[in-house]
Amino acid sequence: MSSLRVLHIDDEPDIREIVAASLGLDPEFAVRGCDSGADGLAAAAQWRPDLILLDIMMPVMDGPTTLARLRENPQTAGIPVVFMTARAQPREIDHFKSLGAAGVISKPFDPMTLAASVRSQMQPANAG
Amino acid sequence: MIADDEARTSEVAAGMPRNAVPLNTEILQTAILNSADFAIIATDAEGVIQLFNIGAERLLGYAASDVVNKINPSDIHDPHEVIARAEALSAEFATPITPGFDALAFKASRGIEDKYELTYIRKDGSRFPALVSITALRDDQAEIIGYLLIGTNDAAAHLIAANKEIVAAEMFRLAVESCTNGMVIVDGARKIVLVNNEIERLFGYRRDELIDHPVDILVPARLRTEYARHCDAVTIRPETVRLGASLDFFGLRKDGTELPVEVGLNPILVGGSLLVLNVVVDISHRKRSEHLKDEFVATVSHELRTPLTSIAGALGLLAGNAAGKLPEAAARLLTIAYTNSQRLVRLLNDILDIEKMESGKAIFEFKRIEVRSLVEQTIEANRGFAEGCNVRIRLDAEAAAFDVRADPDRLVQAITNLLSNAIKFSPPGEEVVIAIETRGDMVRISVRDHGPGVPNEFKPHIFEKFAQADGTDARKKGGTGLGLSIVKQIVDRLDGAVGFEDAPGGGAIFHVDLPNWARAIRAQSRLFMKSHLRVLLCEDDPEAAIVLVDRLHQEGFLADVALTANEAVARVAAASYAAILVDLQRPDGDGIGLIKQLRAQPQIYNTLLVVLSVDLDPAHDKERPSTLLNIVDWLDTPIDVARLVRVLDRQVAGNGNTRPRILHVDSNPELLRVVAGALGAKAEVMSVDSIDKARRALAANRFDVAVLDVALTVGSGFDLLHELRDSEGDAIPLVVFSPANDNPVFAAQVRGALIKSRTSIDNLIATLRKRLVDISLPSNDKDAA
Repeated sequence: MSSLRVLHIDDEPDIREIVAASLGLDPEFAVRGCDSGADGLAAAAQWRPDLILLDIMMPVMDGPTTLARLRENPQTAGIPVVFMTARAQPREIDHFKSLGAAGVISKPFDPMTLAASVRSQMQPANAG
Repeated sequence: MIADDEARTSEVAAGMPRNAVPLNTEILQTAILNSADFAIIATDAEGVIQLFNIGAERLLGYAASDVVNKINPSDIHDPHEVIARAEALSAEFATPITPGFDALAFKASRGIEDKYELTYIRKDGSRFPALVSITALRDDQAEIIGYLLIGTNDAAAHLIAANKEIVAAEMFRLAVESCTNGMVIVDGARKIVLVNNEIERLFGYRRDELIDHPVDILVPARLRTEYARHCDAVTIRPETVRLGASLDFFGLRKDGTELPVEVGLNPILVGGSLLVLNVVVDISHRKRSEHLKDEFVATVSHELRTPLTSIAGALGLLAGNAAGKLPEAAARLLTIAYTNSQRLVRLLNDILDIEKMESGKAIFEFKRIEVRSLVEQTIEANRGFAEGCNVRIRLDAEAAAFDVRADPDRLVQAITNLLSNAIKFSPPGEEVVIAIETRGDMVRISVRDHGPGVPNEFKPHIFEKFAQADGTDARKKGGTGLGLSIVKQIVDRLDGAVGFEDAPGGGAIFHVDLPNWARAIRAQSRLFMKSHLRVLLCEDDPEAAIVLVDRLHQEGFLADVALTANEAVARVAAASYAAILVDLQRPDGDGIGLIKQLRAQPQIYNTLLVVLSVDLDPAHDKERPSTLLNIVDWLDTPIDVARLVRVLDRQVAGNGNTRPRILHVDSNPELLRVVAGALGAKAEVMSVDSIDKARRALAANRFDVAVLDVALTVGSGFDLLHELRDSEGDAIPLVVFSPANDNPVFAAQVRGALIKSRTSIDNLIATLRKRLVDISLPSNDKDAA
């Protein structure tokens, strides 16, 4: 059974570690972290994850820009992307979704249920 | 001489910096005494002149040395006048007064303020009519030691009095000019009639570039309609309106840049015509500092959130034993750290919410909401928290279903805050009860707990930010001190009220009152009636137009009339209308041409267009149902599908939370498929290809829009025009197709069908009110006030 590959792009190393540990609670997940949008683009094209967790506020290349670049590349265009961001207003969530995000996970997140949240975001992609 | 005076004055003041001159009586006295325009004469108690100032020398021609210690002022007056005054005073006070200095000083000596007009005789013998004010000078024991006479040129005084109005006007002009707020006065046609300096400065125009020009040159194009509405609102219902007080308003400078402003509109009646005074305040500084504050809050909350995410995440993993089971003592400490990290998260979220609410960035999307099911969902969402506190939540059995107009997410947030407060303050084992009831036209949601209740001294402050009854106690409960403040902010924005009372038997009851749906709609419609309702009447018969316009005015509408098609097109290009009424009984017979022509104007793309043929005998027709048609668009076949989709799209947009339903009646199966495909995602499209099927669909369903090809089967297609009504008999908004090539037989049939659209004026007004309010709601709903 192939594992579920999640690429996590966030410039905060501590948060990357917490996300890796949280998702690691579910043995089926394989997690890889990147500290910038640019690295994330390369990793996504090469590793072909099942889902990308993407921080919105990053220096140099922010989340929405990274998402747009992922969509430009046919190799990565189909990968579902979930934004991680501060408390978002319903309208902001709509906005992120209109950019093509599959979902939004609020920061701070509950580490004990993060794996389940990510899994629920993957359902539509698996079904389709 | 004058130059000398000035030199002397400045000599006195010399030696100290100008702005450091103290209020030195000596300097003041010198300045007054040196005034060349006043004849100042001081005498001793007997009237012998002791002081004769420069003004007196100049005005009367005597040198001080000619008069001081030598004569009294009555000696240099017209003796006849002095005698006359002495006689008048003798009569007035019933005591003999000698025609000398007494005649001048009698009143002053009695402590009566006195001003008289007498003529001085100059040294050269010429006359100097003067207005003199005389005061008695007294020592510490109030004994009279002398008199002070201040005289001015009587003629000058008269001139000033005569010109008081001019002076007042000039004073007023100067006040307006030097006012630090911009002022623009516009007339009924919104042409500028007056501006002040500040407007020139703020907008970069010279005043001659503004006077007699439309005020629109100062308003950005996108805001002109809104501005015009407010302006109209002020003139129909004169009351002061503030633009920009709660919403952003902008001015347009000559250089094309925009200026954030607050505008107050004040109706002023001048010479029988109603003008509007716009008081314009530059709020760019305020905007900048608000922006800085918002940015600061956003940055701080992000900067705090990033480390907090790591901390709360790490603690959460430890507390969840993700790193192995911890010894009991460590686990206890960890729980403290973890719950407090959670509290910090809540605090940050609350601060962000408050900031968004206060800055007006929180966008409220109003919908029709059934309160009971929303409350049930909120209870479910909080059940876990309640169970953790060993508290039960129960919905009162009598809670009934009521509809309110609110933003569901915000309302859930407000109820959640009340619920979690109630849970936090309930002793374990108790229950929290939510009730829903109606009070008048408000719906009350109340949350009752069995906690300690609200301490009396805290009651006045309970909705303040960071207010907690007992700091230590509340902190134990993990509150942020912002929950109730957020509830209040939300409920205020929902046009509701929040309150609390002591519960019988202990505990507190907090309640939120929201206007029920019907009341909210009425309030909306009143708001709308006040500010928006300008309609265009396309009526070629001037007499009919006058009757109708009178009636529309009485009902609070503003109505413009267009007698010809060209005039109608010009009108819609120049002003904005809430509705257009088209009488199709036109001499040129081309009513449909007019509809098409009007609908081609982008300004009224979405404006209500009512086709009417008004029966002007109201008594005759009161009971007959309205047969008005509400024609959204009239398209030529073959159909421009893109335009059709656009029209329908706009018609179904903002339909609240219900899915709009479209009835499409057409014999062209391909077009039926295209329309269903294009709109299927947004609306439920029912496609039928015959009149009978259309009738069955109408009987069984409610439709928001109908699309009809009248050429479907000629004759009965027209009949259907008038059958497209909802259960209340109101016309369903209609998009009509008809063949483009004007076949005269067909055109006659169209006319015949449309002319069936007859109504009384009462019906028309009722329809307008209802339709305009309905239409106004979606656009007003997304107010980011």
